[in-house]
Amino acid sequence: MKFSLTLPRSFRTGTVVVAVLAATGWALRPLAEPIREELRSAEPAPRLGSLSDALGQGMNVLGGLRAMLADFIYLKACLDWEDTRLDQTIAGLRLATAVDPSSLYFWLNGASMMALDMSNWRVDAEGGAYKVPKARQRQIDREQAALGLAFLEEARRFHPRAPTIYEKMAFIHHIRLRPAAEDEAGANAELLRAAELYHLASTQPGAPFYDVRLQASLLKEAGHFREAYDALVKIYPTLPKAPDDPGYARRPIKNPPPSENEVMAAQAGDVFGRIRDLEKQLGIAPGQGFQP
Amino acid sequence: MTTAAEASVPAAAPSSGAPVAIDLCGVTKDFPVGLRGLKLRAVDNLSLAVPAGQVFGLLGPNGSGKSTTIKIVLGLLEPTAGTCRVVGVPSAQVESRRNVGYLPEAPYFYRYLSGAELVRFYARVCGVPRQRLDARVREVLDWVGLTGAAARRVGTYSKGMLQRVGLAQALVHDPRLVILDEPTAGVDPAGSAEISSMILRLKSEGRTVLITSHLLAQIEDVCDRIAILDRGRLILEGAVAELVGRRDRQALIVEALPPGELAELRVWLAARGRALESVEQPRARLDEIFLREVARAGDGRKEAGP
Amino acid sequence: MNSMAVPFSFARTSLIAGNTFLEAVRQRLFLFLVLLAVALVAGARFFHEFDFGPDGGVPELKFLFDFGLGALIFFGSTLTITATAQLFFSEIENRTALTLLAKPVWRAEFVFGKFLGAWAVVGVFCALLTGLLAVLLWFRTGAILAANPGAFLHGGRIGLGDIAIVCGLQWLKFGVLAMMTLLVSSFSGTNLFSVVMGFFVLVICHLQAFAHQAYTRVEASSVALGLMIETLARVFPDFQFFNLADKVGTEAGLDAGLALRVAAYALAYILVFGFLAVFSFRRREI
Repeated sequence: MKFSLTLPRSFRTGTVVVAVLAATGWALRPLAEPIREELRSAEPAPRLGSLSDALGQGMNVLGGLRAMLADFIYLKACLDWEDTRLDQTIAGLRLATAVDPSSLYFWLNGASMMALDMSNWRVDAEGGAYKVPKARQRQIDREQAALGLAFLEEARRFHPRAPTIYEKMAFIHHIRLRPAAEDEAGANAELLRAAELYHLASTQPGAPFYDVRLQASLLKEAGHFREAYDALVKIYPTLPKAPDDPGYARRPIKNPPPSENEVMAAQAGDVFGRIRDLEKQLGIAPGQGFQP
Repeated sequence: MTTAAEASVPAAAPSSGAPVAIDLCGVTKDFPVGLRGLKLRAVDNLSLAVPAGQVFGLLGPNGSGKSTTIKIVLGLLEPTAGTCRVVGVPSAQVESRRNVGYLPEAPYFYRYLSGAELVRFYARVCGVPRQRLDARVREVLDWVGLTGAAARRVGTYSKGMLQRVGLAQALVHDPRLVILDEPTAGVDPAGSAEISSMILRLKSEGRTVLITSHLLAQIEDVCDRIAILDRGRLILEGAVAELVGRRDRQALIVEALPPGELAELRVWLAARGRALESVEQPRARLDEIFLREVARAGDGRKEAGP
Repeated sequence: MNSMAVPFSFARTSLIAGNTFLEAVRQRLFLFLVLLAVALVAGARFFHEFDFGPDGGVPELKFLFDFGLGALIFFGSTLTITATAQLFFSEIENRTALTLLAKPVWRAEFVFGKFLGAWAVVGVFCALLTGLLAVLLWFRTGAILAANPGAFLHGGRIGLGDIAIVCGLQWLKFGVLAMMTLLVSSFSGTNLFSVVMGFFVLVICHLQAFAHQAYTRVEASSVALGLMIETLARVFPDFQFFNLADKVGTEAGLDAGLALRVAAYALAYILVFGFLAVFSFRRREI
C-alpha cells in the first residue's frame, strides 16, 4: 500500500453539477418566468415593514402546507369566538389571514365577527344593552364596524375582484353603521355608501344578480328614485328568466348556467314589478316607461 | 512460473496463441483516504492473463487486492492506471459483462423474492429471451440442485443455498466466463465439496472460471493456474502442477513394514545410491473423513427409514 | 463470446424499477405512511361536525381539501425523500448493486430504474390519497347540496378534475424531489446524509421565490453581483410553481394551461437531475 496526494474527483463532479444546474435555470427562463409572473400577479406586492406580509411570504417555505396551518389557526380563532375572547379571536383571524390570505372565507367571516358580533360582546362586557347608554353602544358599533371594514380593505388587496367583499362591506354599512349614525344625514350617507358598494360588487366578474336589486332597493330607501330606476332597467334584460335562458351572459363563460335556485334569487318578475312601482313614483306615464 | 520481479511487466498469454479471457495490463488502483487527498494503493501495477477454458485461482491474504481486482474486471471499479480487457473488450464497457457471470462473496439477494423469481429477474436483466426464460431458470436451478427450494423465499435460505442460488444467477445467461469471489466462505465441507465439483463441471463445459478462496487445498484441487497477490502486488503466478509438484521426489505407499524389512529396504536403496528420507504414516484429510461419515450417516438414515 | 454493443434498455430499466417498487411496498414505512395519511384524511371528516355558519358548505369543503392536500404534501415529501434514499442505499449496503451492476446493465439504467420505482411508490401513495380525498369531497358536496341547493352559488365547489390536477402536480414535484435525492445519494456515503440533504434541498426549493426577489433588487445596484446571485438563484427549481391549490374552488379556477407548463418544468428538471445523477454515479465505486 502506498500513499500519494492528488485533488479529489468529487470537486470536479460538484462543479459540473452546479454549472449544469445553473445553465438549466437559464435555459428554462422562457418557461419559468411567465409562470413566476402569473403566480406573482395573483398576489399583491408585500408592503415594506408589514409584519403580516412578511409572515405570509415566510410561509412560502411550507408550500402547500400553509393552507392547512391557516385552517388550524382559524379553527382556534373560532373556538375563541365561541368563548367571546375578543383579543384572541382578532389575533387568530389576523394570523390565519397572514399565513394564508387566499382563503376568502377567513376574511368574510372574520369581518362579520369583528363588525357584527364583537360589538355585542363589548356591550355585554360593559353591562348589557339595557345598561349601557345608546350613544356608547353606537360608538362601540362604529369602532367595531371600522375594524371589520379595515379587515375587508386588507382582503381587497388579495381579492380585488371578489364581489363578496363589496357585498360584506355594503352589509356592514347598511346593517351596522346606518343605525349607529349620529343623525339622519349620517344614516342616509351610510345607505348611499352601501348602495354604492353593492353597485361595485355588481361590476365584479361572477357577481350575483341580486346585487343591483339590493343597490336599487337602498337607493330607493334613500330617496334616489331615478338612480334606482336606471339601475333596475339596466339590469333587467340580463336577468335569467329560466335556468336555461340563452340571453344570460353576465357570468363568465366557464361558469355553469344558473341553477333554478339562482334564477329564483334573481327574481326577474319581482324586478319588473319594482320598475313599474318606481315609474309611478317618478311620474312616468303608463306606456312611456320601460318596455322589456 | 512468474516471480514478483517479472510481474511488473505486462504478462502475455501463458502459452502463445491460447485465447485470453481476462487481460490485466499494468493495473493500479488507488482509493482516496480522508479529506486531505491522501490515497491508498490497493492494486499496484498488476499484469495478469487468465487463459480461456481454465480454472484460475486468485490467492492472497485479506487486503491483498483480490476483490478490488475482481471489481475492476467487472467494471465496478475504474483502474487509476493500466487497462483491463475481458474477452478483448475494455472492462469499463457494459459489453464486457455480456458473457460474464459473477458470484459475489457472501452474496445477499432480494430476500422477498423466491429462488426462482430471483433467477428469473437476473435472467431478464441479462436478456435471456422470453420464450427460453422458464426453461432456462428451471435448468439452472436444477444444475445447482435447488429445484426443491425454488419456490421458497430467498430470505429463508441457508448460507449454502444462498451460494447455490448465487451460482444459478451467475450462470443463467450461459456466460463463458464465471467469476466466483470466495465461493466457499462460510459454507460447510459438504457444501464446499459440492461447489468444487460444480467448478469442475463448469470447466468441463468449456467455461473459464476465475476463483478467489482462502481454502488453499480446494484451490489446489480445482485450479489449473493460480496467482498470489500481496499488498496489491503479484508475487507468484503459474500452473498449479508446476508450483506444488516436486519432480525430484516420490512417495510410495505400502502396507506397514516390520522393522527388519524396513532395514532391508534401506540397504537395498543404499546399494543403488538412493536414500530413504522419511517414513511416515499417511493421514486422511479431515474434510474427507467428514464427508465419508456424513455420507455413511445419511445411508443409515435411509436404511432405517420407512 | 461476442462483443456486440449493449444499448440502453427501457426493458431493463423497467425491470429494475419493478423490483424497486416491489421492495418499497414491502417496507413497513410505506404501509405506515399510507395508513397514517389515510387516517388523517378520513379524520378530516370531523370538519363536518364543526359549525361553519350559514355558508358552511364552502369552508367545510375547503378545510377538507386543505387537510387532505396537506397530508399528501407532508407525508408525500417524507416518503419521497426517505424511500428514494433507502431504496438506493439498500442496494449499495446489501451489495445487491454489486450483483446487478456486474451484469450487462448501464449505470443510467440503474439510476433511472431506482427513480421510476421510487416515483411509482409515491405515485401509488398520491393516487390512494387523491382517490380518498375525491370520494370524501364528492360525498360531502352531495350532502351539502342536498341540505342547501344554493350552497355553491358563488363558487367554492371543488371539482374532481381540479383535485386530480393539484395532486398530479404534487406528484410531479415529488418526482423532481426524488431525482434530487438520487443525485445526492449518487455521491453520498450514507443514507442519513442523503435524507438530511433531501429535506434541506426541499426547503431551499420552496424558498426560491426569495432568491429571485433578492437578485432583482441587487441587480439594480450592481449588474455583476446581480448576475452572480441570479445564477445561484437558478441552480434549484422553484417549488412554489406547484402550489396552484389556492386557485381551487375560486371563481378564477385552475388554469389548465398553467398546470401544463408547470408539468413541463417538472419533467425538464427530472431529466436534468437524472442525467446529473448518472454523471455523478457513473464512476462511483461499488
